Amino acid sequence: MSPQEDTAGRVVLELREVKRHFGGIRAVDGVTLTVREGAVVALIGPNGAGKSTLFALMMGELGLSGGQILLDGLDVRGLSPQKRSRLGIGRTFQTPRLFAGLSVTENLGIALLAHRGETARRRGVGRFSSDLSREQALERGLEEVGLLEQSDLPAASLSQGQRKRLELAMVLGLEPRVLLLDEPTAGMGVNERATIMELVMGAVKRRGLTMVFTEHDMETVFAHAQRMVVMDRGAIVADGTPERIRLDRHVQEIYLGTDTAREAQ
Amino acid sequence: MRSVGRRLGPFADWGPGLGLLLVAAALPTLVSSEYVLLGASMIVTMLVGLSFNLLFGYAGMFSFGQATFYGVGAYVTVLLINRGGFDFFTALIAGMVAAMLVAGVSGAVLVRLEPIAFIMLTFALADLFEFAAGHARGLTGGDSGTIVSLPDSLNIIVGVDRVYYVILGVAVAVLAVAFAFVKASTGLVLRGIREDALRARTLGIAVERRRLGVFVLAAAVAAAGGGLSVLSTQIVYPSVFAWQVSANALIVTLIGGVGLFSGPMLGAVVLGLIDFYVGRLTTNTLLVDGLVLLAVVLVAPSGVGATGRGSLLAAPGAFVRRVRSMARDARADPAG
Repeated sequence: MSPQEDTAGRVVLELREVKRHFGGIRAVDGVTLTVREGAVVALIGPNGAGKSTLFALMMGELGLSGGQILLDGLDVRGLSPQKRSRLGIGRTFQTPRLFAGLSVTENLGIALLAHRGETARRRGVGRFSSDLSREQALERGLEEVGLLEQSDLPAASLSQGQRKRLELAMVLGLEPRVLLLDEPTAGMGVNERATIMELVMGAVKRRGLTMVFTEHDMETVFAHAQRMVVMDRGAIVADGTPERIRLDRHVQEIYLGTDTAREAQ
Repeated sequence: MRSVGRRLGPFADWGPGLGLLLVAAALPTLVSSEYVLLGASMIVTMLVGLSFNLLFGYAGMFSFGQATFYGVGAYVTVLLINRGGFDFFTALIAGMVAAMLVAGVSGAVLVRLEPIAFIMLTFALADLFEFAAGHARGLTGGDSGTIVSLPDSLNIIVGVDRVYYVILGVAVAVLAVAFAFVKASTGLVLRGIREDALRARTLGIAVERRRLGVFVLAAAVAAAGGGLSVLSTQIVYPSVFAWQVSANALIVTLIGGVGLFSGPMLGAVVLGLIDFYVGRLTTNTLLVDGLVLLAVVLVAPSGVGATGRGSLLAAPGAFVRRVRSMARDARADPAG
């Protein structure tokens, strides 16, 4: 278990001995992790390993029981999710969180407004926004994820895959520097998985984003991750390139299972 | 044109309200003064309903204490006229500002609460004010109330129509501000917060600040209603803070349609007419209001102003479908 990091690039996200306990349960128990600019890191591990909790801790939805989280060297412990979002973290959820009763356009519109929120807010209450570029930004954002035809539909009527894509468009609309994607391909068929990962990786490359994603589908992980971090019972048990992780016996035992491991090879 | 249509939103949202305002504008030329007075009270009720709808319909904040701000508006208006010698409009605006201050201070805590706590504490706040108004006899006259001393030009007994138009004029201005607010980006962001606050937070939206903003605006709207009520009733009792005021705001919004801009307007007209005619037959108007609300919730749960699913227009179709499906079930299972 030797931490394998790209030595190039500056450190964007740093977790130091991060802990989160729920009563006696140690959901996250001393995670130390350094992510450099432009890295694509897969966070894997069995259900209950603490991946989603770690995401919630990074976003600030949950408070830390111990440790430190640094974004660009800045200690973000005391910062709310909205502040962290403004610092450049964009996050999706395992089950997409959308504004279900609102249309697809409105969902993305809110994200774009939030991104430019401060200025829009200062310009005052009751101002009819007549910003043409906003319409264009909406159209471009929906086009990027292939939801232009669905733009007037309520978000609640979308399929699982479409919801994931809309959530992705909303998060990309924030122009984040760090993407945290919680199972971007959950509940999708094989083709849909490939499509959304193509979308994600396209955006990551074009915009030079840093990405941490959790994923259960090993094919997806091996196809896209530059680095894999394996969690079990709240702690990191392996960290390295996909090639190394694939051969790690310990990882095969606790997570991949012999079948998946063979398939992957 | 398309872009204007988009900005204003669907016609069904604001069209019926605009229609009602046109009728309201012509009302004194159409009916006797008895009905003009009724119209004035409907407008006041509508404003408190609008206040509730801004919070619940747009931001998902269920306040059961809009009476607080209605009452502050009414009392500040009366006291400034009687004791400060201010003219009505200055007093009205001061009442709205006072309500906004109360909302700003109380809201700083309230908007952070879970929904149930928010309901209970908004309710408790109004109760507190009712108690205070009842006991501060030196200031408010206690339960005997305070009669407002208005010039003849604003005396509703002297000139019903003129005072009615003052009430309508102020209400239209308030409606215009509220409409611009909900149709602007702020309104959209609030609807997002209503749908999923955590998603909004993780998009970088300052949820509490947005909630506080609409809470303060809604307070001003309710206070405008309270201040205007002084013109039509000419006397203010501590009961301006009573839960019935908050309940009426809720009822007219539910009847008209939650989250529909026209909702409280339609609801206020329906409730006003019912209370007016039923009030001639019985003093138990509350019972009838309850039955009407029950009927609306059962027949057209989205409100009488809604279109599509859950609307009054869809009700016959929904009823026929239900009967058919019951008949089908009965055929499929004759023994049952």
